Formats: sequence, C-alpha cells, structure tokens
Amino acid sequence: MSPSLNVFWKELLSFFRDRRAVLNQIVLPVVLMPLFMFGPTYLVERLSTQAATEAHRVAVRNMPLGLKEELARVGLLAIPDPDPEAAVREGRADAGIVFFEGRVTVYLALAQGGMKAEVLKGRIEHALGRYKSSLVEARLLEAGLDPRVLEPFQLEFVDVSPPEAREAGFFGFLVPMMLLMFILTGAMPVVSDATAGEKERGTLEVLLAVPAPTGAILLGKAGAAMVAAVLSTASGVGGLVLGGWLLQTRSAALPDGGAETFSFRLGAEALFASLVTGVLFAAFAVGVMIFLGMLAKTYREAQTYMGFLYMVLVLPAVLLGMASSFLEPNPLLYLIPVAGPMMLLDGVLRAKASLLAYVLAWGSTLFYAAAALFLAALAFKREEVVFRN
Amino acid sequence: MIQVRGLKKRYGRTQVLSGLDFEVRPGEVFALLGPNGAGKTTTLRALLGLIRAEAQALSIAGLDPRRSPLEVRKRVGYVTGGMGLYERLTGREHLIFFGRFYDLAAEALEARIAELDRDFDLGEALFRPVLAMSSGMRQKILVARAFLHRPEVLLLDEPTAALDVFARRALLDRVEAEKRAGRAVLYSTHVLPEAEELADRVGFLYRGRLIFVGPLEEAKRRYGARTLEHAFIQAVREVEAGVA
Repeated sequence: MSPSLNVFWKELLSFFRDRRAVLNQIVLPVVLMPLFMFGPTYLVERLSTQAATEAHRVAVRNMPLGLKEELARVGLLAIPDPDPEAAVREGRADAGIVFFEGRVTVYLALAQGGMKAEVLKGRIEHALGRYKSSLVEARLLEAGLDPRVLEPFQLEFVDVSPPEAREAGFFGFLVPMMLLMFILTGAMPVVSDATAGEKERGTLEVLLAVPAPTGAILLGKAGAAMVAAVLSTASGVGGLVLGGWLLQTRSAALPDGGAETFSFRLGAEALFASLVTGVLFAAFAVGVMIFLGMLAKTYREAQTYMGFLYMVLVLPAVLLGMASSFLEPNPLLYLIPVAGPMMLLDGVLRAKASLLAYVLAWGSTLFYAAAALFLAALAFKREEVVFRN
Repeated sequence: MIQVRGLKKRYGRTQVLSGLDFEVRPGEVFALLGPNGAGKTTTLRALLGLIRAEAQALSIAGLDPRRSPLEVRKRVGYVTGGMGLYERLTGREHLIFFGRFYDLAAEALEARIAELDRDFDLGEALFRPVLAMSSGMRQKILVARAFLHRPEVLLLDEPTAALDVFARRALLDRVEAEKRAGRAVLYSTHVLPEAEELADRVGFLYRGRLIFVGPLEEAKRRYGARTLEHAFIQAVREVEAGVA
C-alpha cells in the first residue's frame, strides 16, 4: 500500500469511528434537511387549510342583496350590524363590512390576527370579488352588452426553459449554496483533526518521522478530507431531494397542485457536472483548510480559523446566490474563486452553462486548488509551523 | 553508528544548538542529558531530518539525514515523550498503519506483530482503541511501534515522561536488552537517575552546548560527584561561573 493510501485509510478509519462527526456530517443532513423543508411548509399548510374552512362571523351594515350568499359560499356568516367596526373591536365579529354610497370598507384586526386574519381577508376579498363580478355582469346584460366585452383577450404564460431547468425546480437555486456549505462543513472536522489535532496529540511528529515523503502524507490527508466533504454533500443533497419529494407528494394532493414547484431532479449531465465542480471546489477548500489547520496549535484553534473561513466564503456565496439571475453574464466572473463554481453550478441547473463557463470555472478552480494544496504542502514542510506548540 | 560533528541550529535570533560533537557506537547507550529547553529534542529532530540544521558531519548508520532523510528513517526507531497515538485506532491498527511505511508485506507484518506481542506482552492492547487503553498499554504500543521494523538505531526522546512505575521499568529493561543486542541507543532525558542506570556514556547539554561528553564514571570523577545528577549540577555551575 502506498504511503498516501495508508494515510488516507487511517484518516477515514478515524473519521468513521468518530460517532459524533459521522452523525453531524453524514446522518443529520439527510434527516434534518427534509424536516426543515417539509416541517414548516406542512405546518403552515395545515393551519392555512384550517383557517380557510373555519366559520367566521362577519358584521355587515347596509348589506346588499346577494352578498350574504357569496359570503356563505366561503364559509362566512353575515350578520347585520349597525356598527361593524365596533363589532370587530369588541370581539362580537371577526370582520366587519360597511356599504355606504358606493364604497365598501372592510374592518379586520390585521396586525393582531397575523396569518389567520390574512386568510380571512382573502376569503372576504374572494366573496366581494364574486359579488362585484355578478353585479357587473347583470348591469352589462341590462345595457344589452355581452359580459365578455370586459375580457378582450385571455392571458397565458408559458415557461420555455429547457426541461432540465424546469426539473431543477424551486430548490435548484439553493443547490449551489448548499453544495458549498456542505463541502466546507464536511471537510472541517477531518482537516482539523488531521492537522492541528495531530499536532496537539503529538502524533504529527511521529508520522513525519516515518520513511514517507511529506507530500504523500499530505495527499492522503487531503484525499480523506475530500471524501468526507463529498459524503457530507451527498447526504445534504440527498436530504434536499428527499425533502423536495415529500413536499411534491404533499402538494400534489392539494387542489391547486404545485407539485412541480417542489420537484428536484438532476439529469445525468448535470449530475456529472455538479460532481466534477464539487470535487474541484472540495480540493480547493481542503487545501486552504489544511494550510489554516497547520497554522493552528490546537484543534480548537483550528476550528476557529475554519469558522472564519466559512463565514468569509459563505457570505459572498449567499449574496451571489440571491443576485445570480440579475447578473450580466460576464466570463471574468467565472475566474473568481468560490463565485466561479457557484455560478457554473447555477448555470448547469438552469441548463444555460456555456462551454466557456465550464472551461473558465473548472480551469480556474483547478488552478486555485493546486495553489491551495501547494500552500498546504509548504506549511507541512515548514518546521516553524510543524513544531510550533 | 551515530556521528555528530559541529551540529548547529538557529531559530531566528536564538542559537538553539551551538556546534555539538558526539557519537553513539553500536551496543552503546548514549544519554543526552539536559533540562527542558536545552536542545535535546532539536538534536533528535535534526538526526531524523525533520528539521534543517548545519553540521560538519551528521550521519546515522552511514547516511546523512540532510541528504537521505527517508533512508535514515528506515533504520531508526523513534519514541517521543508524548503519547503520540491515534485515539480511535487499536494497538494492532497502529502497528499495521506504521508497518506499511516500512514496506512490510501483509504476512510479514502479521508475523512481526505476533513476535512483538510475545516480546512486549501486548495482549489486550492490540485490540483496544487507544481511548480505552491504560497508560501502560499505550506505552507498550508506542515502544512496539518503534521496534516494528527492527531498527539499527534507537532515538528515545524522554520516553518515560508519561509512564507509570511498571511501564517505566519495562521500558528501561527493554533498552538494556536492545543494547545487548548491539543496537545504538541515543537516550534523551532530564531524569538523570535513569541515565545513570542505562548509559555507557553521557553528554551534558546546557543552553545548546555540550558541556561534557564522556563515560558515565568519568563524569562523576571529573566533577567530584557521588551521582550523575550531582555531576550535572556541578558542570552547569562551572559553566555559569565561567560565564559570569
């Protein structure tokens, strides 16, 4: 077995025996992602459904003919009242409506009622809208006009994006950011343990005293950290897909559908492109982390440096993720570390990545990865760094 | 077996080693003695090629660690004072992991581990992860690891620093046995009674300078001391007085 493979084996064995690290990096993402995605949506959806069918009392002054029926259609009970505003304030009614000289005023405790009041507002708007349409239709017929005169054309929007872009769905825009975050968090514990952790335990000196080139030892460590990063990322993306599937299943059962919104499918090409981009970015991130880890004297100090690195890399990535669809496609942006792979992934998922984008993003990330690993190798060879404690 | 001539090492403005001269012959224990910070560990690191150092001559088993560090490391067994073990690996996994660096084939490695088990009474330590080992078990694995590839030279840096009385005794006995087997042993320590028990010759290292090199008995005679500890203290006093 080559020295690199031997070190790789040892690092991975240590990682997989660290239950806490395996739980945090591999198990939790696949379990928590669906919970975070599905849980809040499911809760809001249930409460909204409940609020949409709940019977409410609506106080009405000068109630016109036909409104009571429209309100009843959306489950609201209209009660004649001389002062609907006071009725709402005093809690005798959930909403109030006043018809006066061609003006309709609706009273609601919006600031106090939160989402529930918003749902009620929607129901009243719906009933009033239907009532208004029926009045318009009756008046047009009275005047001998076809009601369709108000609708000279029908409006329709058609998404002409390629099928791959549509299949990426709502969560497609999240994936580049998630990939970046999981790669960083996946590699962190392995790198911290393999660098500053080894220094702190006193094993680094013993390891460097074996008849193996320092570069081979570094390569084994970097390889193990990359595998951990890729596993953690796969787990996170797996959780994302699982969460999307749960939401899709749930929303397909709803009357207004929306199943496509929560779908997340990757074609073989996009999957391959994402994997290559992820591995290249992982190599870059691991190189930077090993360099930082070697500068630290203790595991805890290394974690502090890594936390700082995480913030430095993730914050611009979040901003870029939010602004990506508004940015003019400038090839130079693909040369920026972190931004390049993120923009490429975004382009891959939206099926609009050009050959130039691939060449620039992959080429530059490979260059940065090599530079970062070179820096890490320098740190490994510097006795002031290795033996500083 | 070990030759050191004019070994110098500087960290920034600090001269850590100032021209050390000594040698260690086959079948001999040479004790490098000195307080913490005297330069003992730096000397051993230079001999292993772990740090860059200047020297007129530096060799282990006929090889210069500055030119052939990997070849030198193949011939050296190194034990450090710290525990230096991976918490989640068992003793056996440690021996396999380190054995692979010395190009030991799988069967040869298995046979060697069985041999070390007999020699060092490794027993349970082979199958327990380090986290679940006693300090005695850990030390057995550390020492077994250093002997895994049948080294010609042993570099022991404060090897008893973390040991209980039983493990310490076992280690000292092992060093005696290795000396009898013809190995050259460089034993670095600040525990002078240990050196008095083991060493054939000693080197007093103080502030990066060897202030005495010679046989154990000569050290006591020269400084008019009953023990090696008294001899060392007297040697340091003389140097301090000279400086003053």
